[in-house]
Amino acid sequence: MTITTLERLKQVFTKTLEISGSNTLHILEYNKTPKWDSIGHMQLVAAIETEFDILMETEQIIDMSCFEKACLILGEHGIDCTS
Amino acid sequence: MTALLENKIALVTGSSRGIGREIACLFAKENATVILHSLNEKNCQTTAEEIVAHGGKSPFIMAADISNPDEISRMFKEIFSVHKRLDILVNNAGILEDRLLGMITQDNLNKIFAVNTFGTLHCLQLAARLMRRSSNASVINLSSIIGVEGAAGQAAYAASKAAVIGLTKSAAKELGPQGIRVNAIAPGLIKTDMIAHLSLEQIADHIANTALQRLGSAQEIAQTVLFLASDQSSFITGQTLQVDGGLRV
Repeated sequence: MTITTLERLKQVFTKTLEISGSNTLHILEYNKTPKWDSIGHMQLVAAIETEFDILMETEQIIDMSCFEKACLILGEHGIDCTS
Repeated sequence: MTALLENKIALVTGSSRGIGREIACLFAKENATVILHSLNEKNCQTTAEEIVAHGGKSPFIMAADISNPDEISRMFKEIFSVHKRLDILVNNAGILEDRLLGMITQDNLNKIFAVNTFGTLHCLQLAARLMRRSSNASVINLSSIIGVEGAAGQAAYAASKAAVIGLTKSAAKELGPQGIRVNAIAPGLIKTDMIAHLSLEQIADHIANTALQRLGSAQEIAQTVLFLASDQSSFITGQTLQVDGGLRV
């Protein structure tokens, strides 16, 4: 079974931020979610970069304030996150 | 005996001449894959040829203006696309401009800080991201004895190099948990192009104030950088090592 890009991103978020399920991902916000402080944020960036083999711009790192923004940033790197 | 930098990928900024060149050649001798850097590729050709002539791996050459964050970003993207990771960063690129306090302009400050301080910080910022993919990564920032002790006529340079020490200490604390060590070296007066503007009298004065009674060599700085880059210094981070022959400023 092939895992979709969206699923891979969900797994990165749930694993890094230690969330039990992916149902609440759309309400997560940087600095308003336990574990998603500045240190958690950089861990998340590292995990996304490793998973998708990309190097984010500093502006993208600062802008990645929620799950949807992370999807958009992957799109900017040519990785379609809609499927 | 295994080479000290076996399987390591190392970027040395400002490696076309002087201390940077010595560091790059020594790293290559210790089997590192060396990424040379200068303002333009042509400047690094001689260093690259020297490395290959001595049996080192053929180095990669990167051209970028260290005072320009966009160019630094482009350089690291290129390193990422070719190597995927970085194990060692030597922030060696720097400029020196002597001016008395009353003659320092905003342009002078901008120029000196853009290379010596902001350029160092930007390289470290991006390198840290590539170093997470490494084990036992090491950053060595080149500060200066002037940044530690100060010197008349060098306030701007001293401030830019003192800032590098603060950056080193902070980055060591922030990146330590990820296994990235960050140290600085504060060289004394070293026999390179950087001191070509000094008179023989000034150099003699300096030597008289040095316990070892001589100038340092670029090789001696390179050896210290190699120590900090290698796993021989695996429990050292956040330090500024003065390599100055016992200088009394």
